Amino acid sequence: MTSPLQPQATGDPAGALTREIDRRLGRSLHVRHLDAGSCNGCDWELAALMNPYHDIQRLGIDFVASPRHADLLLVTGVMTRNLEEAAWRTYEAMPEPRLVVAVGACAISGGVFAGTYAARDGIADVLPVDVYVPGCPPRPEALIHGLLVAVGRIAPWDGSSGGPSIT
Amino acid sequence: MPIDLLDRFLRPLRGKPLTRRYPDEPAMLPPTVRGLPEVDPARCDSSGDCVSACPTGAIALEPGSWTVDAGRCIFCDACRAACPQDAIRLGDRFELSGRSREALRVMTSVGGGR
Repeated sequence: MTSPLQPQATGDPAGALTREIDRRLGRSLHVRHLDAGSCNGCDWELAALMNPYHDIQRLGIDFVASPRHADLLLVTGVMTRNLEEAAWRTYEAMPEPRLVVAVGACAISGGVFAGTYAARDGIADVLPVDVYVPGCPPRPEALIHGLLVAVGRIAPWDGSSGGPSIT
Repeated sequence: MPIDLLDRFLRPLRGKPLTRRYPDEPAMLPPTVRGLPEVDPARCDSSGDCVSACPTGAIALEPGSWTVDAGRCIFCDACRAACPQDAIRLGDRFELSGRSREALRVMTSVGGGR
């Protein structure tokens, strides 16, 4: 019996999902957004992905209304204690293979709310996160970058090359 | 004026699509963009003022290294404002996504004090 708050690692879900999407859907991706106690900053940036400027449907990515239709769970917010079970059930409802992306400083580390009694310090305590998208909030291009990193269509920045570029 | 309104109504039909080509083309960033904080190693004197100014504890200063955790940073500019040497800038690097928590920590070698 798996504890709902301690998910088991399942090999390489990112790679498995990428290959499966390649095979069946030509690298399309359906995303379910879960608000786990965010301030709505990240959520507004997510909404901007659907506007004519960013239009992520041109990349084969779309938002869906149910986790049962989703390949990827996009979680914003600090993971309040009241939402832990709901978040886990949302994840459980998704068909495998599945990915989890943590969006924003709150979902990654708790951000400015780290250490409070009412929330976890990020969603990684509850869900197995595959990709972290930093920002407060991340700009829409950063979200596109994170989604493409999640499905392996773009390489993450390795943190060293390029170095600081102060002008 | 009605003619102005008609012109405004028809403008989108004449222009090119608004959609940006990112990631095939570089992102169009506003001049006020706040990206990852970057430190100038030549100016940093390891005073530690940025560490105490950071509201989320994203900055770690150790002898010889200055590390910012992109997963904690809220891009608030407080480190830049607090730096007595004016050594910190919020750059335009926003493509920070990583597959692990460790990948979000960006280290810069600094002089290690005066």
